[in-house]
Amino acid sequence: MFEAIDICYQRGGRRLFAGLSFKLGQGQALYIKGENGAGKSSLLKLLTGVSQADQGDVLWQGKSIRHDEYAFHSNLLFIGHKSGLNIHLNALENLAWYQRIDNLEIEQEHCKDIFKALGLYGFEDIPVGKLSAGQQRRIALCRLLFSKKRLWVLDEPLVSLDQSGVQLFQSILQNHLMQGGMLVFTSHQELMIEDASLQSIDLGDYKTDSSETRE
Amino acid sequence: MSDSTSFTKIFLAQIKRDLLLGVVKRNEWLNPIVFLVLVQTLFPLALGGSPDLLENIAPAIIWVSALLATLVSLESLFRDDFEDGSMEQMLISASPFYVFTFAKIICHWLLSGLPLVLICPLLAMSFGIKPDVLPVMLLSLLLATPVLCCISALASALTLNARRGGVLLSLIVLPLYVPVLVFATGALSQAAIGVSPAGALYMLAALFIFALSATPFVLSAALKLSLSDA
Repeated sequence: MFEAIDICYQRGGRRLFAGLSFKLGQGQALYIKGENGAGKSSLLKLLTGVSQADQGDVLWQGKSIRHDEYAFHSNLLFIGHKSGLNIHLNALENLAWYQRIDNLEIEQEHCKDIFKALGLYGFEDIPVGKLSAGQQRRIALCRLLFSKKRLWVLDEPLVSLDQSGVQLFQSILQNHLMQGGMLVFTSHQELMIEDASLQSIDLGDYKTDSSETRE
Repeated sequence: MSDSTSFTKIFLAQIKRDLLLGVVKRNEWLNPIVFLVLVQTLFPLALGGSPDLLENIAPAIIWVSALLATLVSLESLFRDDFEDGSMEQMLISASPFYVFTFAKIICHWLLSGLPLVLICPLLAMSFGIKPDVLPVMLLSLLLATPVLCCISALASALTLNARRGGVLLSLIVLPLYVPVLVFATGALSQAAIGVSPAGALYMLAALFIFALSATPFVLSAALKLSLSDA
């Protein structure tokens, strides 16, 4: 169970959102909507524990993520709009680092299969910086396929993916939800996810009049 | 599991990654070394034929050039990890952040401190330093360069969010370098005139232990601050 209780956040004297709450159970997804600059990425930072809310709390299995960082972070996979890939290293070196810090053992063969499935086969020894934006995105999304973590937080996962990439990615997400995983994501494109498991939040609804909070 | 073996594993994984990056981006750590070699070879040439003068000011030249060499590569220390999002990933990984920051410091020393330790005694020969001073010099370099790396890493973490923080960075770092400079050159000068340099070396050792044990934690806090602000 992943929940947020009454979070408020302001930045530079401007309130981005207030009184935001949600509850996410097994196999459920949360779609965060909002205009540019509404605070979607800031919200994801709060939810992953990179930054802290001014008010309110984020709970994982009923405990504040501040108090039990280990339990939360060992179940969290976050891919932000920054890819988290070093542009001087190649795809394999980047993923090897993630495997080690996530304590995963992955066989070479399995790795090869995944690269083939993602259309990255043959590109694995080229520095990531020399690949196209879409290919870089695909490499970042590779981590989803290796992951055993239960909560995925994804910031604009579809950006710069082509049509086959989007389809592939949606099937990965469906699969994750069917296995009881949880998902929080932002997107400007529609994602096909079964309505039954999907909640959505529009940050525009949580915005209070910004002039009144300005000091 | 969050036990010490997995910490060691992650620590080593981080070192491996950074050394790999060191191989790819050779310029970043070669630059300071070339700078140091240039400064230390030009001084004897510029001072002309006065061996006594040279021997007297050798400790100062060696240490000042070593300090300035560490400033050359400073700004890029955390820049890449910060901009490409890897730093965020370290923060939200299941292991404590200080395991990563400690690995970063060690790696920074391997690439920017260790070369100084190896090269300075060689260059010192050109200053006519007596061979029996060399062990003291080596020891002072071994104790002091990790302290310099800790200080510079900390300053670099604090200025991550400041665009063009270069000037600010030097201003933060240089005053903190002064104690190291004082004790390190002190040890060398004392050894050169035949007095025991033990006092200065003990002070350097104390700084070394303090810096290495405190910096990983302080550095984590500084980086967290930069990350949540970004």
